[in-house]
Amino acid sequence: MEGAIEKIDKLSPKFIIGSHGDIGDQTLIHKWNLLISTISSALTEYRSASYSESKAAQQLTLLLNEEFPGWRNDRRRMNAAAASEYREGNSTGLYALVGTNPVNVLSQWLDPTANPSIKSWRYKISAVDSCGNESYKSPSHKTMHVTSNIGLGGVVNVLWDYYDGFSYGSYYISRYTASTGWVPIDTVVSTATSWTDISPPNLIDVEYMIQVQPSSTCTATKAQDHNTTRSNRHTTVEPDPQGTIDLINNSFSVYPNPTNGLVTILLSENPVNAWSVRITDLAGKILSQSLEKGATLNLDLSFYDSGIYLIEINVNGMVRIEKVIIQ
Amino acid sequence: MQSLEMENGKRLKEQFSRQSAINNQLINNMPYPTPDILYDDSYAVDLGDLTVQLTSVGPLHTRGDSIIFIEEESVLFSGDVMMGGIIPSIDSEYASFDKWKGQ
Repeated sequence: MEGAIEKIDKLSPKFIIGSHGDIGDQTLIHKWNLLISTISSALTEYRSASYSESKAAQQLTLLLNEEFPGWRNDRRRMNAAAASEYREGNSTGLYALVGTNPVNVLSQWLDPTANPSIKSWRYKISAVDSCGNESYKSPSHKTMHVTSNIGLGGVVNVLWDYYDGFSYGSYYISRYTASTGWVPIDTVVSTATSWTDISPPNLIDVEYMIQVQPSSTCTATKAQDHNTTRSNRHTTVEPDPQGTIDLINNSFSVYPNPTNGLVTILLSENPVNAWSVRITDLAGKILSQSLEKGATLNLDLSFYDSGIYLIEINVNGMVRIEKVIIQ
Repeated sequence: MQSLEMENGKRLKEQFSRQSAINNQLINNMPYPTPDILYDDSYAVDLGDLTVQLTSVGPLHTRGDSIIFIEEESVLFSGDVMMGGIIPSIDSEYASFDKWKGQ
């Protein structure tokens, strides 16, 4: 298969005019070809050595600094206008856009649909400039998901899946009771994924949480107290959902259904907070997603092919799904 | 292919619409025009004094990128495939190093 570089080289252009900057000659092609080959060879080597994504990124940065001094300065200085957030779906390595933040707000985004109590989630972010040009996606960050259960003799077994992102040396385990609040109770090595509380104060209102901490913490103003990453909080005795979720009976209707494209979503109650809606195909692929307010939403689905789609709404963590047929 | 392009167009439309109220107002009713001419590998446009060569270079910055070469002047307009200083442009989720360097 002929690559883009070969196709460009065949044209033998005297001048190359790219967007956002430089005008050059054929020497640009050779420079770019060398850089691409270097990156490609390095990634092949890192893959065969089973490097983690973050380690590969570190090694690649060192290599490029050495082989192509100033390569960072060659990069276009992006005047970022927004940050895009991506979340990995059901297939490994496939990320879908799930949110956008204007750059002038706090560097924090709350995922309105991912429930940390169900599983761990993996994210990447990118920067988007005012022209809509998007940077490369960042290395990924995976949250930790913690569960716990009561073992023989009244102990509590705490189990979690690994953290993936920055380098860390230990897992810090914290325990909560109404009388003590959150208290750090133990530290285990980074290869551990379970721990047993042999003397829990009780089995009713005790909760557990896992943290990891990077070797060097961020001092940016926006970082606030986000210098560790934390798991969900899990209690061995789950509360009665009927008593805690006030929108358990909230439902919604979609009309007309079947539709030629224009549909109205009507919630049975008017939620106090923002709620999310997303459209997926039957394979689960997310086609669109947005945050909404109010009890009524008009959607234009006319640009989708005819077929059956799923409309999923999430109100305060309660998820409801309806099928819609586009004719 | 048409629905894929529309899906991509919808993503870009939403992305730009979110950036400002005026953007949203201008883009809101934007139609999705369909192409008049389709080509797989290359297409030459005779403009009389100039011949413009369009060459598909595959998914790199977007799902389907083309470069524009003015033969008589030997000038290549690479668009976002080769942005000033940014190399290589592999922003698209369908891009790969193999698409750049060949196999």
